[in-house]
Amino acid sequence: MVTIADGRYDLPDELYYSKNQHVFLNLKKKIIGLDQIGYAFLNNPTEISLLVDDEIKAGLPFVAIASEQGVTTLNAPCSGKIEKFNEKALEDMEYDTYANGFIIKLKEISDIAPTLITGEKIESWAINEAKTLLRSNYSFKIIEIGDTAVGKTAIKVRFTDNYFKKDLKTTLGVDFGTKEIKTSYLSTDLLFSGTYRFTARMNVWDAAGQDMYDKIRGIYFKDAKGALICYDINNPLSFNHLDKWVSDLEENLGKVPTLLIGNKSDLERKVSRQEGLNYAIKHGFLFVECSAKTGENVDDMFEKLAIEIFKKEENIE
Amino acid sequence: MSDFTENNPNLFFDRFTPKNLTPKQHGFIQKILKKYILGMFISKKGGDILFSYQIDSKLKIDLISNFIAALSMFGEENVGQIKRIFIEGLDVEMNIVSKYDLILVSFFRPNMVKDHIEEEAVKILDKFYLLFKDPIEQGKTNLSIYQKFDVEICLFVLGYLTRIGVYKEKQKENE
Repeated sequence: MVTIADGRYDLPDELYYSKNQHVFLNLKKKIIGLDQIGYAFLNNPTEISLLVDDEIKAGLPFVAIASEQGVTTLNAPCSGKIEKFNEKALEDMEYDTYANGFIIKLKEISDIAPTLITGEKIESWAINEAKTLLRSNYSFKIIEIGDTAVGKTAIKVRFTDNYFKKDLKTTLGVDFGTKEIKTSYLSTDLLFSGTYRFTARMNVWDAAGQDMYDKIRGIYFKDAKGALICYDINNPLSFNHLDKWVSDLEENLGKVPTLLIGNKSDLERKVSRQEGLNYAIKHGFLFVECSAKTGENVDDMFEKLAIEIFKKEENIE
Repeated sequence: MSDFTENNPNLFFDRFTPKNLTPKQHGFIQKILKKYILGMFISKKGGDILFSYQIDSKLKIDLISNFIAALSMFGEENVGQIKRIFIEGLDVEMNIVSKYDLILVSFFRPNMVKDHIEEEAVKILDKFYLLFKDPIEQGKTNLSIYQKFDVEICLFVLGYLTRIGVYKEKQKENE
């Protein structure tokens, strides 16, 4: 028996495991199921369905499991005729995934997939898999641009440190702040319907807006996963300059998830909400009006951006 | 910019004993690390951390990585590569190595023996890139992909401590 992660997971070393899906094969009992780590990956499974009639083929999908994270399809570790499909597998897996929680029992086994591992090879693989399971954090660099004095630094400070300082000094070159957020995304995709939960470390790079930094600003875009383009709803000139910032962004990063922000919603409005929204729609950006002074919408907009970046990173929708 | 310290729990190295080290070797590495090395991280050149471990729980390595990335990018464009930084207030020295569009930063106490440190750092980056070439080039920043590297780091540290004479042959025989 291989016991890992402070005893949280056991993997019998006489079983055979598929490395990518944690499907186990018990040659003696002729049963197939999920190992304990694979079960933990599922995150509250709700339904299991058999995808084949009476026979499985090595490497091909044989069962689908729906969980909070979406629908997972498992591939068969071998070929063979099915003797029994355990419809109660999900109920039993939690307590005994290697015996009563099996998924199918076969009459006979043939064509075992050559990639299965057993014996001494299990431990190092399982340790790494458990680590992946225990920690799923992302790190997203966000570049924040826009005219000088639209409140970029104030937005960053409100988000990372949750306070507002009226007389912030002009940013020299670049400033940055970082904050970890926990969020989730409800996918309605037909194949993967469910909630994705993740943690994102948002590294916000607040680039100086003055013209004198135009030449060096470009280097700070490197590796950014998303962008915030800011204007001041009290200052129409900052709105009129958006084309310059969009062109700067596209030149340095291409298309990345971008949020257009109308800041200072606590002040008298001189740019209508509809104008901002139209501009965002035209360029395929998300759009939010916020106030760094009151904190209105600041956390929400970063969460929205994190979800868009996450979707792009994981190729969802 | 916020300051560079906070109280974070220690990460990595204390969860699993790497299979290829004996418990004694692992214990020794932890003890030595806590004495001399405060932490390290590997980040993308743009600043996003891909792998890190932290011995000194007060260092805000997430913020520092952005600071170093900005300095490195500015340095490369204007004044040349930045290789070492000393922060007097924190009594910390940072060694910086860049390769493959990655940055490796190690944090030391200033009195630590630093022989061969850059050479070892380059070897670590080489290994990291070799193991994770695809996700790095695809721009993946899910840290769980890279977390497996802590086993490799343990081996590198043991090799380094042997090389500078901190880990002695006699100790090996006792294990």
